[in-house]
Amino acid sequence: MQIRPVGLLQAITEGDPVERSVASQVDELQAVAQQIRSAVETVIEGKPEAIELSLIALFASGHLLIEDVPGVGKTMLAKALARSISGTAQRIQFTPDLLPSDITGVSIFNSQSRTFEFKPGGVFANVVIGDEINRASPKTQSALLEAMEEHQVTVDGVTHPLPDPFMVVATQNPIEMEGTYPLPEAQRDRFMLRISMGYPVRASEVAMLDHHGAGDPLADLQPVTDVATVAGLAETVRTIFVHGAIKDYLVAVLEATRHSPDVRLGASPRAGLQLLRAARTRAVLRGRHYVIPDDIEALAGPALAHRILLSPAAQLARRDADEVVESAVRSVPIPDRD
Amino acid sequence: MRGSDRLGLALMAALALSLTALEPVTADGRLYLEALAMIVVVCASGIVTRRLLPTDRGARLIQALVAFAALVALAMFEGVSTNPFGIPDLLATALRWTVESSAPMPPNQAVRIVAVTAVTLLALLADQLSISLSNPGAALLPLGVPYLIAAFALPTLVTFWPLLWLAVGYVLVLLADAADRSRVLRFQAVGGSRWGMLLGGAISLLCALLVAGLAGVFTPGLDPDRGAPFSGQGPVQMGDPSLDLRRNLQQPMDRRVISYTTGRDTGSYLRMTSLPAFDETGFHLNPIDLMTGSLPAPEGAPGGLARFTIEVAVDDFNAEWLPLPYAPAAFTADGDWRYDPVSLSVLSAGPQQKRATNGLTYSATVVDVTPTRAELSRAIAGRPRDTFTAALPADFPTEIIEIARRITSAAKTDGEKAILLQDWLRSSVFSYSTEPAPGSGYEALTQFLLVDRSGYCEQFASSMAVMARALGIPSRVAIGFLPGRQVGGHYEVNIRDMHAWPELFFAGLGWVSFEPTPSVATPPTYTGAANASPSPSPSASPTPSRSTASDEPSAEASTPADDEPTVITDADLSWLGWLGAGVGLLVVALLPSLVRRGRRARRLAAAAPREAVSGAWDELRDSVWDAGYEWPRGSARKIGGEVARTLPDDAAAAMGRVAVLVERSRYAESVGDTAGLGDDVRQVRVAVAERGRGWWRKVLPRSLWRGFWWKG
Repeated sequence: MQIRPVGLLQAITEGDPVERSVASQVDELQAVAQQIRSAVETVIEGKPEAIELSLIALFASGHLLIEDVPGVGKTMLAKALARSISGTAQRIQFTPDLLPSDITGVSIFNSQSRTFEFKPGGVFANVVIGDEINRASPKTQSALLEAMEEHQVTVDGVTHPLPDPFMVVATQNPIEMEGTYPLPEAQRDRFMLRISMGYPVRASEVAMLDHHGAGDPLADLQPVTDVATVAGLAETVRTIFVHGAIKDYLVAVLEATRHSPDVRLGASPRAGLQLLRAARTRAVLRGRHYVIPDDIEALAGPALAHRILLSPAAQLARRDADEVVESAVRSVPIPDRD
Repeated sequence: MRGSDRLGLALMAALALSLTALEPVTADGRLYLEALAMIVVVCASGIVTRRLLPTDRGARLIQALVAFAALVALAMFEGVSTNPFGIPDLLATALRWTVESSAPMPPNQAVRIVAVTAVTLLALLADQLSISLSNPGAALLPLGVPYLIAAFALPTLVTFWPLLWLAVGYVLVLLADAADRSRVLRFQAVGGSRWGMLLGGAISLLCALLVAGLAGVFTPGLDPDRGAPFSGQGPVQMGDPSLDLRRNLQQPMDRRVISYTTGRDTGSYLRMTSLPAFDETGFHLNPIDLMTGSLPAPEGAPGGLARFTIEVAVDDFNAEWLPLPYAPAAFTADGDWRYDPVSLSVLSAGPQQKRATNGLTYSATVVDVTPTRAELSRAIAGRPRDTFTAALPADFPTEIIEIARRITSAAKTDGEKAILLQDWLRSSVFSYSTEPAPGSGYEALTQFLLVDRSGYCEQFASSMAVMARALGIPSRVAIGFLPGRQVGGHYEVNIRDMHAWPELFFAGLGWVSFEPTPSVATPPTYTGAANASPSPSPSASPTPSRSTASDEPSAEASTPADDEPTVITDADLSWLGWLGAGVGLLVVALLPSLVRRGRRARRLAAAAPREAVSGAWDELRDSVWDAGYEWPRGSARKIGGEVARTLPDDAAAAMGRVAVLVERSRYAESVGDTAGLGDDVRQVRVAVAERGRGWWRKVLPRSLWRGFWWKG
């Protein structure tokens, strides 16, 4: 249940100038996010959680890994996101014969100017969609993953910065695993959140048939903001206050995944950093200028489940990583005393 | 008010309530007042010193010093020497008085000082245990000591009420502690400290039992069933008074032998001794150990009985036994007189033993052991210390046993059986005559009961005594004098008033006299019809109502009383007891809701924003518990959402606002504006209370105990 009416925050922060300025930034971000959300929802029907998580990844400068069966709108979500912030979008279809240079770009010799010219690869865009990333060779995968981490590409000794904001939305098909190269743990760790779309509910699916049958909704989608605004707001997120009790709680959650008997490899410190950034963003998206345990709790699954390795026993018992993370979170008491 | 202040006040009340247990032990009103004053001094000084001094150890020291100074001041006020070398004497005097006087003890300065000192130490112990050592569960040890002393020393006299008061006081202490602790518990490992408290309680209960058991054993004089351990004793020749009886009843010339004045408004049977042993030849004396000093309390009799005085002048009558009403508490007589602690008869040990009573003038204080009719008809047979009084030889004629059973078949209790026995012997079946052969052996009794049914007091008394034994009621035959005739302001007793009568032993009543001999005297009123009014005959009805206060005991054998004695009678006490119980029950009934209200007021009064918000949240949690619902688990937001779902819209919005404030107070940099908090809490509280109605929820707020095992 959403308790806090939207206007309440202003009401209770009146009279505090510092808080008021934070509050106004928070409100601006919330408003922008709401616009993006509405725009994306015209394309993706009935998936508010997936849309919120992708917004969190966008404003937290993180990357998104979407694991799901084909045809549920993974690519559509990424494209809609890019379009609504009037950013550039590139789609790279990962195949076994894809080369690293297809991603980063190549220097080719221009016979007219007699110079080498850099021809940017697919990664040079605000939103990069890596479709079926597990089908490319590890070498090609790592080219993308390096770009994700560094926010730049170096080709022939020349460094080319990537645009800001820069977000990779990679998709993986968990069903057709034949002839794929599953992402190694180290590389999965670079994705801030992993989500799965799931099938739409019946009413949404019916509505989708109506809308998409008439024309291309993506073409009708109008940008609601620009990339500069998004980049600026992403800076705001970093200033959000986090209470010491919340940090303790977060670390306790990480430790719980490490000590769980079902887990062979627990969440890394980097996972904690990213989870905290995501939690800050979620707080702002919900109109708060402070993080609460609910943020951590809600994001622990998407932020941690793809990073941990289950123990052989848990795998044999067909336990799900999401479920294991959830029970680890439940085992940590909420910091409810000041 | 701080938690330790509350606990201090609760302890003060609990200690004061625990003193009620001493009611059967001492009748010294001043002792209670002084003990109460010391309790107040100890607890109040504890509260003040803990507030003023930073360290707990310093506070404890100052508190002990204050208590000591107050004791010294009390001793000076009492006029007792404060020289420390006088303490052994004081203790010895107090111990002697305790051992020698019967319960309830008359006032005595030494006893008072010692008892008040003991209470002061108990108060200090209780204060240290429960506040300084934070273990209020252990306060049961000092609180229970007065009750357990009374219970061990006077098992038959201790009633239920002091236990109730003790429980009320203990609950007060625990509640005062719980109010404070409920906040702390959630931080600590809840299980640990709760089990710790239980363990502490159990250990202190054991210690209290041990201490009180020892104390009870070492205050033997308080127990009516125990004799004085240090008194001169020695062999004394005794004459069988039943021989005198036979001889005197057949005196050709009746003459006055005794005259007496009594503080009571009727005359009294003057007993010389009682014959406990019975064999085929009749009733006999047994060898006895004679003692000096204060007489013990009458065996088996309840405490708090009225007393009266009697002044006796013996003319020309020779006996080694001192004629006294039963039960003498103290006597003053010239010569060397000793007493038998079992029968309470008084015997001369002087040189002119057989003629010791001749021309003697003496006075005595007597405990009026007369029961009421209702008490007697409820009574069951007791077990006296002298087992001879219950023994019936194996070869005793079964016909007599059968008669006894037959005529008492309608009775339900032993008391009623005794009354039926007396009624039968007093019926027209029997006739009084001094003609028959004397004696109370098998042959004499069989002849008397089955054949000629004619005899005098010896046969009547012996018959009733043996038939009572046949029915399981311990009995003995008392020898002495009838009350005599009232002449002006005094009574006169003649030689032919010499008499024998049975005494039967009942639990809770002690030895009760009966009068089975027709013609010579009317039966005691407590054996008459249930609604019989007291007999008009002064010479034969020794029964004023027990509840009338008698004259003050004036002449004590050993130490004269230094105070006006406070005689607390049963009637006063039962009235007070009922009133006290009523007030106590009311207080107990209202206590939980008062504690709950106090908690609410304290929480909502917090000024600092974070404390105010935290208090408001605790208050809402308790309100939800009080209404009979569970407080959800999880974050403030989750709890707020779940509770708000059950509430009407505006209360739900208020709950949401409080939850956001709680969240901010815990996780944000500043709490924000808490101005509307009070109103929001009230709105939610009212709405929650609406959902859980029922007067019992108000009387017994669930939150008071729910918090004990709740882990946040």
